[in-house]
Amino acid sequence: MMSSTSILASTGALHPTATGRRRRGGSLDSPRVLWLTVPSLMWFAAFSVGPLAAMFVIATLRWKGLLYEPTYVGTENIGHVFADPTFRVAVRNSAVQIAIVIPLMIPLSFMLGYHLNTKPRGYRVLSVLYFSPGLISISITGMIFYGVLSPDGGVNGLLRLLGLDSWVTPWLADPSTALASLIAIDLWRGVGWTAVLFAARLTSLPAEVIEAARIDGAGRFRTMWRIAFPMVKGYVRTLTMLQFLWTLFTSAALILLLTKGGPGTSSTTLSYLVYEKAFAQRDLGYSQVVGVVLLVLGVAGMLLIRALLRSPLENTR
Amino acid sequence: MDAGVTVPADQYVKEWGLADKIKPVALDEWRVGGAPSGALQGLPFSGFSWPLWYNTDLLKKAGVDKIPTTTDELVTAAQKLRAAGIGPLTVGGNDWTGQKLFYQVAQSFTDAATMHKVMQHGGYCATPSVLDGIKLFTQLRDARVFVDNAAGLIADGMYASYYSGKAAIMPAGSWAYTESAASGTGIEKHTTLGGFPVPSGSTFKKPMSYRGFTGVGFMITKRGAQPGRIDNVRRLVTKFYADTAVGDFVKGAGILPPTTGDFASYATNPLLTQSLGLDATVDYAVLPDVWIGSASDRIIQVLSAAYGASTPQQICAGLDTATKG
Repeated sequence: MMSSTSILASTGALHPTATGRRRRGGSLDSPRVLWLTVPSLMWFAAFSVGPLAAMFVIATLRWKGLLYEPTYVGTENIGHVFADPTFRVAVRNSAVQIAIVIPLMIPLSFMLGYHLNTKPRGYRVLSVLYFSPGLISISITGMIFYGVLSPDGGVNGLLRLLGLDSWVTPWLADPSTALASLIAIDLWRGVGWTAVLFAARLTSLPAEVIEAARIDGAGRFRTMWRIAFPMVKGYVRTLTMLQFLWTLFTSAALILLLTKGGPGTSSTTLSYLVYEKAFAQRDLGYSQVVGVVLLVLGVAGMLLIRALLRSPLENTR
Repeated sequence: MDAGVTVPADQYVKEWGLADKIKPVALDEWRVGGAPSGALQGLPFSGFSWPLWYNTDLLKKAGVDKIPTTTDELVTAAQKLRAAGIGPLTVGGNDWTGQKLFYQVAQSFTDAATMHKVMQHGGYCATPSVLDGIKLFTQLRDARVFVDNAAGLIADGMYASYYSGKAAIMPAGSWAYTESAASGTGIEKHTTLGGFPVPSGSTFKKPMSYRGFTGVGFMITKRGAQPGRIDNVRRLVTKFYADTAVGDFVKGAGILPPTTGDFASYATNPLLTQSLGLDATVDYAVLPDVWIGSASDRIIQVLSAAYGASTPQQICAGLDTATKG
């Protein structure tokens, strides 16, 4: 049903096209200026392109570590990795982690962000409370949750207080709850932080659009998902991609601090496998094959997110 | 040494006059293969003992009159302790402390040579005596000899629990002697050191403890071995092995001395004094460290589940996989 709000949105009144004026014969366009970008390009080549290329090269080596000499083995590592049951468990665990964290985090944080944007009482305090978990360094987060989730820690203490003794378990050492605990911590760190970012983006939505929706009789929920969400879809897409990449690539830090991939392999993810094989088990070739797999999965995931969150209202350039 | 970074230390032990000072049993632990014929990888310095600590006050309170020496006595003691609201045996099931205790129980029926082989190459499921040891471990676990949720504890939790009197027994090494006194709870005054109780039919005649010299030591790099530098290395190292220096470490850090000599006067800590006489009451088990090598981390992950609810088959299969890599 077309309403006044969607007409307003589609006229592009919210997306003014930039008409830049070209300076004529000015110093900004001169090719000589491009030389100033050389230091930056060198940095990029050394620290971004270099390691990426090195990853593919090391994946073809059998190499125990910096103190040892590598030997070339070609594609032998790939076969070895794909045949290893631990690798398959890691793929499954990474998939489970992404499949739970992203679909829970993004809608939840969008709703929280929308609520923050309506500036309820105490919204400033709420903003700080939401944002803080994301600011705490990963090592401190690990220490905090090691205490909270330890057998004599906060969570079990609370359960005992509530008389739920049968639920008491060593959360990080129980194969059935280790991965779930890590996922919960991921959500704890990310939801509030993403919510504050969404709230910031939503403040730039013109108030008339929301007003018009209200006049048309749309409820809070409808306004949030049918009006506000499509207008910031590009931003949602960006944050979803970021959270996806962060969850996929950086889960190793928390796992190293809390469970070391165990018990058994129940909390080993691809990201942790890269670390473990390289540093604990001295098999750099294996580690970098997993790195290449992560790269492929990362790109595939980004393309999928881009396709799922495509918005017809945007100017596609 | 196999990466070509450090050099064998055999010649230095002879040249620097340390051959008569350093205990041969300590040197052997630093040799490739653990045998007297292997190349010496470095010079051992800190020795340790790793007994079981029994809080005699808590045991008495629960009605346990003598320290258990058989596994049956241990199970009974654990029941009495639990009835008195005291945790029986606390151990860090989630880290290296749990790993060492597991290996003590697991080798209860096995001789040293077989255990070396299994630790190095695997075969936990295929070696009946080792599998029996693993079964004994699960029986003790299911008899609730370990504190609840031991699978989730690490060393810190274990120490805290024992020093504060919440648990009556813990497996801890001599590095903890001075720190236990520093805890301020007076725990070192009512602790008796002993070994882990043995089952009937065990290859060990007395309760089991560990002893080793695989702690801290000196390795000499290729660079350090160069003619211009080796003399400085010699001066530093020989200073450490002087009696006064070793004595300082015995007193301050509770190490077992690597050199022959009488250090009893330096042992001011009551626990250290006890452990100097431990040889008479315990048998020494095979310490896994040297034999399991880099599989250690993966093994800890398997054992963390073993302190949880794994079956003996799951444990032995997990250990085989972790060892063979």
